Amino acid sequence: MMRAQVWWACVRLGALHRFAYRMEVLSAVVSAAVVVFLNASVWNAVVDGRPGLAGLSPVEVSTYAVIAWIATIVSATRLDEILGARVRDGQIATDLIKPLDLHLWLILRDLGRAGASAALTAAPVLVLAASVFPFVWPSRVGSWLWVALSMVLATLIGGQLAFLIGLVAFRLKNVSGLAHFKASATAVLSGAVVPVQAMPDALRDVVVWLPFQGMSHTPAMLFLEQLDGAGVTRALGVQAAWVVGLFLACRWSWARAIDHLTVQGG
Amino acid sequence: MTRVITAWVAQRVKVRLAYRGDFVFQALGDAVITLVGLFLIATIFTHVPDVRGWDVHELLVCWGMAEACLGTFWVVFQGIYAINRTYILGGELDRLLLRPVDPFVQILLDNLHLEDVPVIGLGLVVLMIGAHGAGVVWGPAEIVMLPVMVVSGALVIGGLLTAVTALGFWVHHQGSAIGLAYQLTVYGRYPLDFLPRPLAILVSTAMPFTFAGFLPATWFLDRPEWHPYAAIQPLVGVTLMFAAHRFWTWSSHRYASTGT
Repeated sequence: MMRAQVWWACVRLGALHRFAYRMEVLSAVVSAAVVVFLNASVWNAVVDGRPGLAGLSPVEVSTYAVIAWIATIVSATRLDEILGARVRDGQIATDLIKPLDLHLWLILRDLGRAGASAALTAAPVLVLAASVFPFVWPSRVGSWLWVALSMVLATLIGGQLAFLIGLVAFRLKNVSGLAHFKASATAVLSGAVVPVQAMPDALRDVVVWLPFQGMSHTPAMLFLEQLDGAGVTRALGVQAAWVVGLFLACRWSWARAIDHLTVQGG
Repeated sequence: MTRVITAWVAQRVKVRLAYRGDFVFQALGDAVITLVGLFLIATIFTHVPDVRGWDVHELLVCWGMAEACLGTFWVVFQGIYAINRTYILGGELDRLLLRPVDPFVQILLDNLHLEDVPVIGLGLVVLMIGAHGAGVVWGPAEIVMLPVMVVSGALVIGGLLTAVTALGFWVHHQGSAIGLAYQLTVYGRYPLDFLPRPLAILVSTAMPFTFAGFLPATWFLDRPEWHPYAAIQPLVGVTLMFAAHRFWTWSSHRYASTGT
């Protein structure tokens, strides 16, 4: 029971951290709106006057473009840079002597961050975008539940991928370049830039075997109600399997990375 | 003056090449972002022949132009990102004010970001590929205007962001205002008729980033309806930069040293 309270505190602190600076909350909304609106503008122009694209109707393409980017904004994290910075300035040493598991602590804190970001950034941008661009809301209440669950799994995927990148800092000492590369790669491979079903065949065949699509394509498909009952279970199952797989990968890499740790500074 | 500037640039190159690995990594990182954009355009045109009447070649010209302007901006104007933190809040401006060179120019020269030169090259290559496909005939008007427009485009972005930076003399913690203004540059890459009306108006008036991408690009395309706007682009760039510099210098009189 005690442990559950500790972990909940991690989630809560991660969220509170986001609420702390009002100007930052506002600028997060504006910058998210800029990219979401750009993506929606371009894809709207593409389907303008056409019957649809890759099996989606024009309004669905527009909605996908909005939801997929918003999902990336929630699920993509700077956890890799945070972990990298802690290694670079030596703070990692104090982290290691705390009676907390660093991996779980960072992941849960990031879940809190994502929750706050969903409420403070994603929700206002979603409402704004839906009022400017052609948009279709889910018709069933149940779909919201699946989207919410899918977003939690998406965040756990994004957080653990970032954790793995951050661990590279244990050897390279500097991950900011790698973190930027990961951010660009994630935007492409998750379906945020180009919907997965509109990707060139060769790329799509690779993407379906990667974890990134769970970060925005899956929530977008659930939002659009493009999947039947079995399809929903399967999509969420694939996301959950990636969460477990990445969890094991993190544990294994974490155990090995500690052996290579050099603490900087005194 | 020219000798001073040349010496400054040479010094800057030496400083940067001291960490060669980091230099290369940074240059690569910026190129990846460009590749994402090209991937988007390439994929779109596997599905449709044109987007609201614009074909792939025309879009590549717009994109290449925007990229070349942005690259030039990054190389020259990197310093304005440091103004608030280092020079105003950190009090570094003291040192510059004692020298007989315009402090704003000193800030720019001290922070030249040469690792972004490849971005300009990449933009020009994309523009050339697009121009070739669109059947652009390179006459004197095109050859002269290309460098003029790339530089003016950089001045448009630089001018606007300099004005935003000058606000830092009035409100000390301006936070991410400059980052937010910068983000709007992405809209300059696409034809104005791609954008919803309010956005199209925003990027052609209050935040005229369309002058750093789409509008100058039309100069090279068979789009006579846009040519008048393209023709005044150099004037817009120079005027904006001039006004912003005046505003910056005027605002800088409010600077109070930190005493360090």
